[in-house]
Amino acid sequence: MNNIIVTILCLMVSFNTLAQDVKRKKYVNPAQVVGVYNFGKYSGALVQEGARGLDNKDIYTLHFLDDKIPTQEIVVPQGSRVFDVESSGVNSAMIFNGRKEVTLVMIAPNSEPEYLIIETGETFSYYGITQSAINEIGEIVLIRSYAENGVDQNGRPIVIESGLEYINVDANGIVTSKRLEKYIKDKHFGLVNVFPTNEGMVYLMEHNGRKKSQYELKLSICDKSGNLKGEYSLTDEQSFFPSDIINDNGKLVMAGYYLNGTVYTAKKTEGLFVTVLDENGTEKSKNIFDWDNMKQKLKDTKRSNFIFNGKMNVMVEKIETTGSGYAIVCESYSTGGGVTGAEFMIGGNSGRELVITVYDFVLFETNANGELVTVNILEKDEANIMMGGRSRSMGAVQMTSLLKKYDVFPFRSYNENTIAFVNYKAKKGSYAELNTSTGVVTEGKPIDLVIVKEEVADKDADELVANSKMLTRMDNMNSKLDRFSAKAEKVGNALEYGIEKVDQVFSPRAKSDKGMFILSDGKVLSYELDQETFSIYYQYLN
Amino acid sequence: MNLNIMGTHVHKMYFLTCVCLYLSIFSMAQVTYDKEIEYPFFESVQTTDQFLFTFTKLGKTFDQSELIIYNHSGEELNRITFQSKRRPELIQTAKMGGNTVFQLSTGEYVVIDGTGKEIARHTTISTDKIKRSQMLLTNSGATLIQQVKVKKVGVGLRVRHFNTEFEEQWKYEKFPEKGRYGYDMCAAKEDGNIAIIYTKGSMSYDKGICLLSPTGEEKAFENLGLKQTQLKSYKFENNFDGDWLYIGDYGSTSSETFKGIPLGMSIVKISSDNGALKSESLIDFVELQKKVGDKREDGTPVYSQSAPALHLLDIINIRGKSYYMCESYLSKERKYTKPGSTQSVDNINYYTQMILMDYYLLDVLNPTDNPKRIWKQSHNIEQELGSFGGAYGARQNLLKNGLFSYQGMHNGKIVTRGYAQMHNYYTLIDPDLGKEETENRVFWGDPIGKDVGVLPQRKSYNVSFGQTVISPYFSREGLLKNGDEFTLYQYDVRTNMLKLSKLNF
Repeated sequence: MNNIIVTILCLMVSFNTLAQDVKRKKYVNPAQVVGVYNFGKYSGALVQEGARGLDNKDIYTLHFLDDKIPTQEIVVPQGSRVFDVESSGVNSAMIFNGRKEVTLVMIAPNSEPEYLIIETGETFSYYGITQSAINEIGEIVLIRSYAENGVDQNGRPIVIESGLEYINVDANGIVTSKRLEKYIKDKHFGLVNVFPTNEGMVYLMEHNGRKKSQYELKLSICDKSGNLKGEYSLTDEQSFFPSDIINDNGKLVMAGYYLNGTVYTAKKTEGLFVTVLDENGTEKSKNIFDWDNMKQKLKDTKRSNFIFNGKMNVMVEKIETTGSGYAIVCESYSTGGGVTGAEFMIGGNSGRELVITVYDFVLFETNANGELVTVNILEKDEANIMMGGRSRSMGAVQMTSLLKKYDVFPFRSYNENTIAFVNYKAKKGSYAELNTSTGVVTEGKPIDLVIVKEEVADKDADELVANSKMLTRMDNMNSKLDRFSAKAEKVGNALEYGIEKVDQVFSPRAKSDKGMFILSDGKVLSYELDQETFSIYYQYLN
Repeated sequence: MNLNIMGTHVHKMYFLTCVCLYLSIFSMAQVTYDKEIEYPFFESVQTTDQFLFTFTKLGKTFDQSELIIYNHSGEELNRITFQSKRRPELIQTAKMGGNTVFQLSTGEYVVIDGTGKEIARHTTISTDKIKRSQMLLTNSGATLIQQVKVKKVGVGLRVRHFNTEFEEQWKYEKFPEKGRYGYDMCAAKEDGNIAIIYTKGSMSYDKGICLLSPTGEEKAFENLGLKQTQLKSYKFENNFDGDWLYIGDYGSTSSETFKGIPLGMSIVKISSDNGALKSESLIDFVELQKKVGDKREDGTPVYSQSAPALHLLDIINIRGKSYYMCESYLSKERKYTKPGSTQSVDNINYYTQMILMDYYLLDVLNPTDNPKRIWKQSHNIEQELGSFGGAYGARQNLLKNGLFSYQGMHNGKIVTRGYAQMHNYYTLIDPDLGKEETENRVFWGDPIGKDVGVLPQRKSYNVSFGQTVISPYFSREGLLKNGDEFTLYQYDVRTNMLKLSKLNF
């Protein structure tokens, strides 16, 4: 008996160690949860409550993952669906696409939500928002298609003009400007990425003429009011694919990888580039570093032949200013699932699945003109990410935008020689830190929560079992079956991983029952919805 | 039976207890219970202005019931056991002369004082063949209303009045020369005045009122001459202004979607002086929807053929103005088929669903003009009433179990209960706001079911083993109103604990 009690106490202590930081938000029905979102310093679950016929509204409640913040009611026109949530350190906004209008709901803890309804002019067709972005000071841009309607000479309805509408909203949720960008006939530029800077948004525009194998990429640079200040072409004899752009005291600094020729002619990636523009898009310096050039800069070349081989793509995760220039953190990745590099670039993957394998970090430093100073490959375990939904048929540029926006790759943050990232393995992950000076990886807390669920003994049932030998035997048998079932599940998962080798699945804008956020104060929060206990469990990982 | 959570050994129980204790630290309950009382068998908890009480089957007996009396803080005051050939049941309770009287199915009237002590027990016996009877208990005594059949005289009304000592004071009888008298509803004022809505002849649609003074003198025996004769009544009481208020449904939907709900509500006011009809207001539910109901984008009513019906629950006062407090509902039938024990016959369970919707406030002075609607989230309470179940019977059960959303008023706000996030909740609704604020709910208790994706959210009440209909008291959680105070109760069926919490809004 003593042994039993000691064992129990040990178990309790171990539970306590594992679960001491896991918090629980009760009375949330996961079946009604639309999504869990990052609201700057906090995160919260949006729960669909149903329709209110009184005024034809849909009602949602927003449950913050913080006990001190009261639940908020969100009321939007009936039929509205959440498009996305944009969040900065100073504000957060939920974007709802309705049947006839867009609703922007400004969210702040401990205060009532504020609503901005964006309606469509009488002569225009209604379109929902398809892209959005927010900068560090809370300015938001909402982008959607537009079509102006009219009639022809015979009085038949026609579309007079169509294109993209850019709606600029300030940090208080007030529309400051709207800009219409007309589609050019035969040379349709689509928006594939938005780089928000505090001095205005920079748009990455792509023209992908598959029939004629034409490909063009350009930057449209806007001021704080949303007016177009300048453009910069990224395709000529070479094609440049920036995956991060910052505004450093009036200079636009961008980095990415480049190809010789276009996506239709290039066979491989050639290297990385760093370009510096002025605010109007005039090039001040352009630096390209081919793979050989990069290899020469490496002290340790054991991974360089693998990473810098032209078959890899590189995503710039973050451009950070240093005292002497820029530190650029990248992640190398390649595509699997039978998709060739060229197919991946062009998009339109018709295969059933697309798996992206993410490899090492690449950290390179430049001087203020973007000239290469040092390169470092920082090894970590590779992670296989299966792309789900519409994302697998996207082109590389658009997909890169999505992957970055939703923090799909392991990278989470870079700060003072430390890269924080999630080490994914077999659909589980742990929050890890990598010292960029030493290359040492420190494993942190698992992002999957250890949830200890409440089980209340049924007094009557216990008594019934205790008084019946047969039921006692059945109870024991049941416990054995449970243990067997748990083991079988473990073996099954291992087998599945052995076949699929999928470490993480990404389906953009799909509801996820578990996930994690980096909040604006740097804290990392992991959550999990649990249907059985009608709760959201959450934990801070740092 | 879930064998996963059953412990058969001491260590398992100990471990479970540890886990429960440990987890209680992390539970973020929104209601804190002040009192927990063990109940191996629980049927209902009710309140009077003097005390709380439970009336339950006594464990390991088949013929005994136990009345346990608590003060409003949950401290036990007394327990009394009753025995009879058929297990005694509670019929009603009422305040009488500073005490509380319990009427039991045995014909006994048990008088309990404010400290919970039994001070008297009486029995009334009637020798005539009784068609129907009802006891009215008031401060001034007990009045027995009967429809009796007396040989060579006929079928008529008999009223017997007893003082607070249950000594018979007077008797009134009324038999028609031809035909028969029956009664539909009866009520008493605190001062002893009695009113009976009687029915004449074989058709119960021909209604009149009989008024009796506290000394048993007939004040009026008048035909009401109602416009809407096909009335199915459910409420008859003395109004705040002294008049008699008689409420009922009329008509019935024939649509398959919303089965058997009334088409309208009749609000009848009758003078307590002479029994004259003072007003008869007919609330047509489709018309009501046209005025304040849900509308489509083009402005047309959502409910144009059959509309949510109203059930009048109370008369409330908002800034000196009186309103009839009504709750709207729709009703549906749900069949649930499950394989039977033999291969050929499946078992079909019939549920009567009551979808409780919004509040409607009708001006007492002019109920048909300017109705005010207060939106709240709909929820669905379904009862396994069999294939003959319907909205009328289901509503009586809801009332008995405190399951309508409306629970009373507190500081001018409507105390409301409902289901959301698959749990019970209560909230206060400001009538001026005209809608429930969904962020201000207080949740409690266990999940209401397993249909997590169904909206409006639904809780099912099933018949228990061996029964054919659900028992009169089937709710295991709710709110009890005592004056301006509310007590929340929750019976935990796993731990057999009755939990009580005084609410501080």
